[in-house]
Amino acid sequence: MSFWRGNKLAAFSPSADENAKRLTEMLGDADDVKQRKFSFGKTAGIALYLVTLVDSLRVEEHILRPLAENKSKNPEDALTAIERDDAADYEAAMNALLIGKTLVFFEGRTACLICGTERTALRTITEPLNEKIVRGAHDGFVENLNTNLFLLRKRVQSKELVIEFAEKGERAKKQIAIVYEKEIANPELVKEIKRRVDSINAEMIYSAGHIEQMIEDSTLSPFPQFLSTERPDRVAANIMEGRIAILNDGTPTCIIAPVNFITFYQSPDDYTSRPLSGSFYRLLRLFAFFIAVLLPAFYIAVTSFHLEVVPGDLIVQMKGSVADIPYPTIVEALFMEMTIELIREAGIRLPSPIGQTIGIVGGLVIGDAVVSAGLVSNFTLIVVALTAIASYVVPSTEMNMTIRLLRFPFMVSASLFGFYGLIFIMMVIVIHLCKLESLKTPYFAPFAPLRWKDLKDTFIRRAIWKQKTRPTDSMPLDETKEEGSREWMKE
Amino acid sequence: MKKWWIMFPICILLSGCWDERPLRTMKLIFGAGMDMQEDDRYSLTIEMPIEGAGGGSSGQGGQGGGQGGQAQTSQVMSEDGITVRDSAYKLDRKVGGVLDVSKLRVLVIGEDGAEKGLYSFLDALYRNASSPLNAKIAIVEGKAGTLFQSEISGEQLHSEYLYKLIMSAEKESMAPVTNLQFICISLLDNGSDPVLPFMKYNEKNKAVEISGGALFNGTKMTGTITPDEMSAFLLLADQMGKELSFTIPADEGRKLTILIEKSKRKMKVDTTNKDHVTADISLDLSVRVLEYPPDHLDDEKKLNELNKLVSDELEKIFTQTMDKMKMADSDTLGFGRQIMAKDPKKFEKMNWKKSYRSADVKIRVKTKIISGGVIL
Repeated sequence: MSFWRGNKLAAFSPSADENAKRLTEMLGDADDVKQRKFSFGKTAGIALYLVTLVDSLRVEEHILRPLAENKSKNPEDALTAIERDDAADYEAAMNALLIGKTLVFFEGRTACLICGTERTALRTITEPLNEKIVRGAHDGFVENLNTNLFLLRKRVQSKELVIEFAEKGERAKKQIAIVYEKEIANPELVKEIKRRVDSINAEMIYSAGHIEQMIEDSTLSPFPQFLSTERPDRVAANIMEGRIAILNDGTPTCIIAPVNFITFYQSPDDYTSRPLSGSFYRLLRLFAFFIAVLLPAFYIAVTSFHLEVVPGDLIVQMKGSVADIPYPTIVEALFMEMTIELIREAGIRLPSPIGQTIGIVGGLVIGDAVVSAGLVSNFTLIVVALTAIASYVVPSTEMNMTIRLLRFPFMVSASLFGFYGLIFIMMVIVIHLCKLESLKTPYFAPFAPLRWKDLKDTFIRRAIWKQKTRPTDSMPLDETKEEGSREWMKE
Repeated sequence: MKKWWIMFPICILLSGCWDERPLRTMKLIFGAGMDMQEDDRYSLTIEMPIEGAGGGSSGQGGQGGGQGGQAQTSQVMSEDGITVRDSAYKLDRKVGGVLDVSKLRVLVIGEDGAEKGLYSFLDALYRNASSPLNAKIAIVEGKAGTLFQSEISGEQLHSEYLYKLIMSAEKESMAPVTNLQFICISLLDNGSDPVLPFMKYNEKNKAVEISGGALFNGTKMTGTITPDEMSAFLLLADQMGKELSFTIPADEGRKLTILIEKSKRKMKVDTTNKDHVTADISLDLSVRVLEYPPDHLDDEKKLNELNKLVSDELEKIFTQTMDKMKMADSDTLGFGRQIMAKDPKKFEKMNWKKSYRSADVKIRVKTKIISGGVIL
């Protein structure tokens, strides 16, 4: 590689000046490379750092000042920087420099001392805006990997929690952490996920979604095969089910595999609330899935093919509503769906005060005007609005997108073939779901293959003490989750 | 040209629209009346609701209906033809939109037509896949066509009104629970005959009343029964609705109204006799007294007397009903089916329709008054 001037694996020169010069050259004589000369008794030296990446106070306090005060025998002992390491070669020194460490060269020594002086610009730990819950923990991941791992370790204080790092990115390196519970997670799956992560050969890792696309089983499937979340409690719970979490530096999102379809419908709220209410809201969410995917298609099929399924009392109103609309129901429905998607997209991009205005203008003004202008019928408006609300119930952004996309093929096919078309697309989707795998485990797991025992946490959530075993779709080493809580009942 | 693959989406995307039946282009028939004219032509009268005004909630802009109050809510049209379908097509020519029968709620057939044979009216409906099999069917005194033309006070949609009328009659055991699908079986069955609700227009109240039932022999209407007899028939046939009441003339001109709470029917058809068939029907009724001014229902002796009285009076009504059904050659209770099941050879040999009149039907009633209401 001609980019590097000279051999990057060469040994350090005894001259501190030359070392510093070479490294500066390697960085293309960047202006933010700073050299600070110092002398420690007789030995002179150079501290080299990137002024944009280091915490200058720490360089001053822990490296330059102790050296200047000259209190110990040895220059190494004088340094008070906590994190210290020796660089093996220029490349190692270079990488250290690029993550904000300070290199210290002493005149006459062919070594390079790395001192940890990184500046960390931390966002405070707040609840993720897109995954709010009512009861339970309100912390969320931030952009810093170490903080995120701290949150996880703090939550799962177990000697079996394993964190493995990998550095990926050919040009710009980023740290990726693989986290799992050693005694629960299946080693085969851990091996598989490491193999996939190892094979990432991108220039740079931009986000968790980036990693997901590199390692997921099927990229073209509409269904997400990794659970993305910004909630430490959700990650911790999944790790305790034998799943593997992947975090990366720079995004607050953690991706989890293997997952199944129902994982996307499990919210931490289900577990913190009581079993009855947890089950009710789980059922409600699953019901919302069917509404969001099928309701517009069902409505289209009914109004254009199967009017006999509408009860006699309702059909007069329904016919009155669609009678004056100048085009088929599918056009109406697509028009309204597009409007809602536009409102949503515009609402996200705009700053929040304007976003609300857009919501009101879009929702109320357009909704009302469109009906009174005779462009869209009342019934279509109700159906589309219900669908939009139902699609936002799912506690996962990815699944939400999936649902919103899925209903379009349903609608088109229902407009062409009525209920036949609806069933046809449904069969295609179900077949796809049954065939889909997440990290080589069945995606539609407790249903296909049917595992009776695992159904306890799907449609309903049974009481925690009734869930004595872990779900088997992640093939955990240890299936027992708990034994004999509530023994006191027997006494 | 490598564009041949475009054929696939064209085939798939364009073929679907062929079968489309868009709701907005449909003209829904809610009620239909059929009559047979003197010249054996079928006349068909249909009622279609006018949307927006009848629906109640018409927020539809540009329509403006609903506010006016006097807006027309239904459209009645009539036409005659060689067959029912023929007249339907003639109607379709006059209607803006495609006529659709799948939401039909009530089918009314004129008395004259029913006497000439009911099945010929219904055949067209049975051959259509999207027919409303749950539509109610009734026979009307006079012409069915005029029923839809006549004014009914307080009601805007004739079909809606008739539907509710029949539904409530079914609940109160004044009409058998039946619809287009159920009667098809008994119409085509040799061993039993259908009974349909019979209605007539009441000029004084500007309303339609259920005036009993129409009896059939095969597919031809052969007689009528009164509302009381209809209730008796429903008990005999074990088809009691939710409620069933009788008013019985008691001692010294004082009357008694009772409500049948529970009814247990046992029917035995004896085919061993060579020349005639005997049938035993025993009814075990639990009765609640709804109205009895003389009171003293707490008296055991009085109660026994009343029990006896009610049993006797009911037995009278039952026998009277049975005689009427025999006179009409209408085997509504399905004795024929019983004989068919027990002795098929005998059924083949005998002319059941002829020997039905001479069948010996014994009816035994046992009543028990179980309650006299909240005042004992």
